[in-house]
Amino acid sequence: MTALSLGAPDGRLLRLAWPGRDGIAGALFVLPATLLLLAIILAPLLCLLVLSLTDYEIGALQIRWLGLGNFEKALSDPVFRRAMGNTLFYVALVLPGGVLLGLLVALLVHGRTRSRAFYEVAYFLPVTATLIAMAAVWQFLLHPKLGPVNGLLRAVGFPETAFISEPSLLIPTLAVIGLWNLIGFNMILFLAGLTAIPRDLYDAAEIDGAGGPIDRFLTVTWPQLAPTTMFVAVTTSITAFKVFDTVAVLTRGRDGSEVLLYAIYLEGFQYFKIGYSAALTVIFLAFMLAFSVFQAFQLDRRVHY
Amino acid sequence: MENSLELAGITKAFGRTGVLADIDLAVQPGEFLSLVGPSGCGKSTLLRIIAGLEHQDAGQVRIAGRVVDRLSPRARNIAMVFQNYALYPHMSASENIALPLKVDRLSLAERLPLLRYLSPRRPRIERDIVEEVGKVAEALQIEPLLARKPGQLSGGQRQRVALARAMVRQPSLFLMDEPLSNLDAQLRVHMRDELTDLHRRLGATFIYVTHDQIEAMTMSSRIAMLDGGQLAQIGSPAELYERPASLVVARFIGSPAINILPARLDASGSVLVGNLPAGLVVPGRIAGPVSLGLRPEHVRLHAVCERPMPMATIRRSEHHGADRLLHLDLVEDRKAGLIVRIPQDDSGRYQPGETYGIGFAPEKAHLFDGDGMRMAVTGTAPARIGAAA
Repeated sequence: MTALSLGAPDGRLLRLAWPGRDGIAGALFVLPATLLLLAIILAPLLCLLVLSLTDYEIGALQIRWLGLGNFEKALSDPVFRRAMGNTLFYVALVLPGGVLLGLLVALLVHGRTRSRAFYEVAYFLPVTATLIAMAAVWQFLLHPKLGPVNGLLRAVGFPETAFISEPSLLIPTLAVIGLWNLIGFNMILFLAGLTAIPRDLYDAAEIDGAGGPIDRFLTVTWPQLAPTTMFVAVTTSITAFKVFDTVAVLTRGRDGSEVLLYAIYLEGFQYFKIGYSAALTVIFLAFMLAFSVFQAFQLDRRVHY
Repeated sequence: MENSLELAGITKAFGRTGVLADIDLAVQPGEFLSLVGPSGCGKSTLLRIIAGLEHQDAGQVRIAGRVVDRLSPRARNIAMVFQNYALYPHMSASENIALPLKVDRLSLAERLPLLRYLSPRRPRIERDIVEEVGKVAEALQIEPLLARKPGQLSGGQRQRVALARAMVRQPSLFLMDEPLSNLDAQLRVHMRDELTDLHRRLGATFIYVTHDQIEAMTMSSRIAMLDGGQLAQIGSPAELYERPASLVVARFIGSPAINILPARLDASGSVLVGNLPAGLVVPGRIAGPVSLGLRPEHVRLHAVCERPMPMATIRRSEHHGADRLLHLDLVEDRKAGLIVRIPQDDSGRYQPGETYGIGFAPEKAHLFDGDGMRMAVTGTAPARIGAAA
C-alpha cells in the first residue's frame, strides 16, 4: 500500500528525488517483496549460518566462536557419517523406485476407463494418510511373530524375518514404506503428463508402424513424459532426503539406522546442541541444493524441445 | 486396373451417435479425391477408418483390391498427414522422416537403446535409410532443415517434414486430414499449389479431408461431399458447382455462397417467385414450396424493367479486384438478401441505395424441392421474369 500511495499520479515525492526518478520509483515498488524475502528466507538462513559457526546451546551462558569447528567435528563423527550414508542409500532406493513404480502404476491406471477413478483414489490414499499413524500399522504388518507379512513368508516356506530389528534390513524396509507413501503422488503427476500427450502422436506412431506397446512407449510416451519425469525425480529426491517420521517412530535411530534429519533432530532437540545441529543442517541444505541444481541443469537441457 | 480404394457400406456409430451411414465409394488409382463437408459430417472418421485408426461397425474397406479390415495401419501400406503434423518433438526432422523405414527394416531389438549395437547389419541398413531420407528431403527442398527439431521449424516447414515422412515409404495411398488448416492464408495458397504438384509427380492416390471448399475445388479431380454421415454427392468440382444434387451441396460449394430465394410451385407446374412466374416449368410434381438457387455471377440486374420482376436495393458494394460483389436486400422481403457478382465497372452504376430488378437466365437456375433435393427443370415458359431478351 505504501508503494502505491508514493507512486500516486501527482507524484510530488518522486519528482523531488532527483537522481533517477524512475530508479527510485522502481526501488520502491520492489521494496515490499525484497523485505519479505529478506525476513522470511534470507534472514533465517543467515541466522543458521552464523549459529553453525558457534557452540550455542539452549540455556548456555556464553557463546564461543568456533569457526569451522562444527563442520570438522561432523565430518569425523561416525554417527553423522553413518547418517549420511544411510540417507544416500535410502535415496538410492526410493528415487528410482518412486519414479519407475509411479510411472508403471500411472500407465496401468491410464489404460483403465471405468475403474480409473477407483484406482486413482486407492493409490492416492497413502499420500493422504499420516505416516506417523501408518507407521504403527506397518509395525504390526512387519512384526516377526504376529504380522501377516511374516505369516505369508512362513506359509511359502521362508524363514521368519525381523524387518524392523535386523540392522541390514532397516533402511530397505524404511524405503519400502517410503515408496508406499510416495507412489500415489508420483502416479498423479505422471497421469497428468500422460493426459497431456496429444492423441495425434499415437496415431502417427501407428501409421508409421510403431504401434506395438514397446514402440509406442519408446517413440511417444517416454519422450513426451520427460519433463514430467524430471519434475517427479526432483520432488522424489527431496522427499527422500527429508526422510524422518518413519525413522522417528519405527527405529528411533537404533541399530545404526540414523538418517540426516533424525541426526539433526537429536542434536538440536534432544541434546540441545543448537550450534552443531545448525552445522548439520547447512550440510543437508548444501546436499539438497547441489542435487536439485544438478538435476535441473543437466536434465533440463535434454527434456525440453 | 483395380481401384485404389473401395468402400462398401461403411457404417459407424460412437455409442448411440450415428456418424457414418452406409458409405459406398470407389477411388481410381492416381485420383485426388477430396472429402468435404461441414464439421461433424463424419469426414475425418471416414479417413480414420480407411487408415485403420478406427474400425467400422459394418462394411468393407479394400485397398488396391485387398480387403484390409483386419490389417493394422502399417500393413495397409498407406501414409497419413495430420492436421497438427504430429511430428515427434524430440526427434530431428531427419529422424522423424526415417522412423517409418526404421520400423520397417529393423527388428525391435535393433531399435532398442544399447541392444542395437549388437546387430552387425544395422549400420548398413541405416546408411540406406539416411540415403533415402536425403532423396525425399531433396524432393521437398528441406535438406537444410534435416538436423532441426520440429520446435525450431515454421508451420510450413513442419508441413513439409510431415509430407516427407508420409512419402518416404512410397505408399500407394496418401491420406490427408486438413493438412493446411493450421497455416496462414498466404502459405495455404502456396502449399495448395505444391500439394497439387506433388500429387502429379508422385502419381499416387490422394484422399484429402477438408472443410474448406476452395481447397477441394482447386485441388481435386473429384469431390465427395458428406453431410450428416451420408454421401451427399460425388463428382468433379465442376459437377458439384454446376449441378448440385441438393440444397446442402449447393450452399456448401461456391464462394460467395449461392443465393437461395424462396419460391412456389403452382398446380400447373410453373415456378413462382413472390407472385411472379420465374419462367421455369416442372410438370408432374405436387404444388408446394420450393427453393430457387442462383449463383452470384448468374444474377442480372436491370435498371429498366420491361415486365414485373422482383426488386432489390443495393446495401453494400465490395471491391474484389477484377470483380465487385453487391449485397442487395429484396424490396418485397427485407429479410431475404442477395449477393451479386459483377465485373468491375467504372460507369458509376450500382451504387448503394439504388434499386434494380432481379433477373436471370432460366437455364442457370437451380431448383430444389421441399426436402432440399434437386428438381429437374424440364422446360422454360415464355413468360420469364427478367430473362435477358
